[in-house]
Amino acid sequence: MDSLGNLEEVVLLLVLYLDEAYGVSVADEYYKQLDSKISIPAIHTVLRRLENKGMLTSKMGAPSPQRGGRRKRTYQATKYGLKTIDQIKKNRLRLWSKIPELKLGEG
Amino acid sequence: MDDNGINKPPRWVDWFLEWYCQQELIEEIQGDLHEAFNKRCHKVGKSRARWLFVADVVRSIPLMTANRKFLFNSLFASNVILLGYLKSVLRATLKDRLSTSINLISLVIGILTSILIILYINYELSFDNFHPKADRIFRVYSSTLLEGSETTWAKTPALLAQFLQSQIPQIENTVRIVPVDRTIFSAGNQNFKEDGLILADPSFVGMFNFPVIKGQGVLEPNSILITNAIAHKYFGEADPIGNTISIDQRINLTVAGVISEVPFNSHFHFDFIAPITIANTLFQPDFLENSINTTVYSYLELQPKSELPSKEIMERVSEKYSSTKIPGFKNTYNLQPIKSIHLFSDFGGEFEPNGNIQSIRIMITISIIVLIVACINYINLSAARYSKQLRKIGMLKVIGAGRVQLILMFLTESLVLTTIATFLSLILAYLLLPTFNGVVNRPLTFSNIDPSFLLCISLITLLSGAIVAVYPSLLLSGRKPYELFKSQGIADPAFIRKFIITVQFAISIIFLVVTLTMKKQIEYVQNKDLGFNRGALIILPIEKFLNKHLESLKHELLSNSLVTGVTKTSDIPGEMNWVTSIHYEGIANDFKLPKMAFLNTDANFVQTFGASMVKGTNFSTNSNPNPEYIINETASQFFGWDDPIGKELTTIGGGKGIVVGVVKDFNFKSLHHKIEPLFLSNIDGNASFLFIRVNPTRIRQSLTSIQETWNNLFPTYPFEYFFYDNYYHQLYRSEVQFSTITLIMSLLAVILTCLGLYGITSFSVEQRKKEMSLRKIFGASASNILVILSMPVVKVIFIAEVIAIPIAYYLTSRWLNNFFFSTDLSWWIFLVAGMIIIILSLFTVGYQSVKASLVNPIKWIRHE
Repeated sequence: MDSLGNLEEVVLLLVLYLDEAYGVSVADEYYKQLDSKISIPAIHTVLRRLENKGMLTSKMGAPSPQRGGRRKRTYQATKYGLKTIDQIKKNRLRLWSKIPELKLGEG
Repeated sequence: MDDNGINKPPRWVDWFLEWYCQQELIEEIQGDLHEAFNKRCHKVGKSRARWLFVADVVRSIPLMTANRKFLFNSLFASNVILLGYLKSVLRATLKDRLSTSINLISLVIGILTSILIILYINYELSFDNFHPKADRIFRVYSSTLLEGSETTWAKTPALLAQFLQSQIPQIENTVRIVPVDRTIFSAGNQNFKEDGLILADPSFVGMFNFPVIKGQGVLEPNSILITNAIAHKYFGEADPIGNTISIDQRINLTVAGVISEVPFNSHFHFDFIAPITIANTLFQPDFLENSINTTVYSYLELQPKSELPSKEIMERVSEKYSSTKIPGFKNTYNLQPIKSIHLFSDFGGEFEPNGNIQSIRIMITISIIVLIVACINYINLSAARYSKQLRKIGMLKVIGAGRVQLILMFLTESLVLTTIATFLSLILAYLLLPTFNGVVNRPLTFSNIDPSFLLCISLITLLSGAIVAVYPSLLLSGRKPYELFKSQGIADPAFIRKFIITVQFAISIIFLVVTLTMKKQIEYVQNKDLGFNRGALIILPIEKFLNKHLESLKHELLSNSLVTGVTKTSDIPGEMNWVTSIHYEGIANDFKLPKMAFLNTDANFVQTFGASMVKGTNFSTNSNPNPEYIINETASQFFGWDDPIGKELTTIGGGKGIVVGVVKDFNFKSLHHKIEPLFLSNIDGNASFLFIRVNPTRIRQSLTSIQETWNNLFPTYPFEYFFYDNYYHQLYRSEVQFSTITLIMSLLAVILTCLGLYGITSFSVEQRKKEMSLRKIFGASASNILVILSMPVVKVIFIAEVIAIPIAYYLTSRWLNNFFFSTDLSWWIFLVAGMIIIILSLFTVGYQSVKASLVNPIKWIRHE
């Protein structure tokens, strides 16, 4: 199983719940959710890397006037991607659960 | 907003995106960016959206490059690295202001000299190019073969030009030019003495391009053309056309045209053009029919696209001319392109002293040297700097920077600095141009530069940038990262720095020695005793027709109490180009008649001049039917006479006569030449100068009273005079000019060297912080530290001096060979040069050493 970097993980999560996941929408949602700006080319890079790792697939969508008639490339998670992210989540939760409540409350 | 109501992102950037991006990716990338742009226009405003668009395009570059060929990959793939490094470079540059400013100053000095010298060379190459037919115009010169040695002469016989045109079909036109100096011009009731008259054939106007601003500008037999300045001088604001100007008060000409000033970059200059036909009246009746004497400058215009007559053809034609017109003489005539005259022509009898291809070579060498020294400074300092950054470079390699990328980084860094330096240099060059023009005596300007100038400058910038980037590129870019992390050894072996600074010191010492020697020689030459009295000697140029009144002038002047001597002469001791053939008693029968320099003067010469007789008597004052001669000691030796008095001497000008006296040798030529044989004669003939010795304490009054006397005797002739010692200083004008240039060069070299020294000293002091602190702790005093830090510098200077001495010796003795009379190459000059360098260096190093020696040692050790 491939490992995922932090950004890759976040982007994969976003792709999973966004209706139409492409450069602009993922960047916008990233900003909305994490309150941190990220450039679109950075998103592009991560999306492509994830696709190269086999965790996403992509297809070209419909053209739209806001894009001057150009099509957009939308991404979806693959089974492999789902499996990977699920495994990561499980590992995380297991570790989180071991930290006693008290410690979390402080700081 | 376009018609769809959608905003358009910045056009150029968008086009770049389209051009750069691969076809498969263009839609998604460009589409996403356009969409984001639109959104942002509404959210954060158009200008912010545009800026973000640009940023996005730049950031997309690696995306678009990812699958391309390997080279591009290296260059742009991780431009993150590039940007990051550039940022750190900028930060480091601003922080390390000392290093940067030293580098900048060095580069500016180097580039500035290059710019100025390029302007100079550009100008020198542009002489005579303002004539549209310049490529077809040639000047004829004569060469005479006399017993194996060839004499070339820029002038030709008056009949030659026409003869050549009749023999060579390609010649479309010819023009003859005769310069005339010291002519009296009269206009209205004013008289002027002018030097700028030339006589020319009417074809002059068509062949050469001197624009006519008033009048017809045609050189008819009774016309004269004048320049604008003359028009104002003679006629004020009135229209000069149609007015009369007379020459020598006997030739009247009508002004037919006004010409704009002759530009500086012409090999000949003039103020008046008169028809050449007046030469027969002005000089002698058969002047223009003379086929032997070389009296005119002949220029030819060839037909367009025709071939230059070959050497063989010229020889054949020359033979024909010689055999038909001047039997007994063998002259060859040849052609030189008019544009090459200024730089390459150095025949006898040139119109004006020409420039010198030699001086151009010297200028180019100087500028290359200064530029190299400046670049060396930069390289030296960079070496020090890079050694501090080895770890950073290693990191860069680790995260993926390739070799090509690293080299690019070094190049960019150096190019940024070089470009800034070039801009500063251009500004400085613009400001300093007037001063530079003063030194080199040329009207250089930025207004007529062409694209090739800009090309040259850009080349210099790029080359300098490339040169200084070579060092880190070679040394560092190829290494494996672990080597870079290991130790400091590789980036700057200390000996390279020492070597470079030694070379710089040596160059500075050489320049200093050369300058000091030149100054010494100039001083020697200006003050040497020439064998006669140079001071308080006033000279009046005498026109031919004034000769008849010469005796009365002399008489009047001698009655003046302020005047202690008056003598007439045919020439001025100093240049003395005239020689004549002589025949003397005791000459072998088949010996060729030698030529000898001479002065035709009178009995007052010896006393007025301040020379002294060693044998015999002066010229007799009552007329002696036989010509008398006085010779100098060298002549006496030349003739081989034990007792010269009474010996026979025959000259072309004077005829057969006897030697009555021997005068002590004096320098009648500049000190470049050894004292040659000379004879004085006492022939009633045309004198050219009147020498007047006056009371040395009342020079101004003497001058005024002489002028009064002159104006009384010759009310219509303007009074002109000059002092002999001023004239004498003029003989060495080019040496003085050259010494100014070497002085400037020395200053530049020394400044650059001290700058470099300051830089590497500060680096070396920092390197040795720990060592110094330890020493202080163990009891070294401040002065001990000073000595320790200064010692290496002094050692280096000694080595530099040793290297410099033979080179400087060679150069100075070569230059001093131009003079027959020279000072000796004193050893103290070498010492002084070395001392100057040592003192300056100690100042440079001293400041930092003192600072280092005073710091609390604990501070530094703790820092580690």
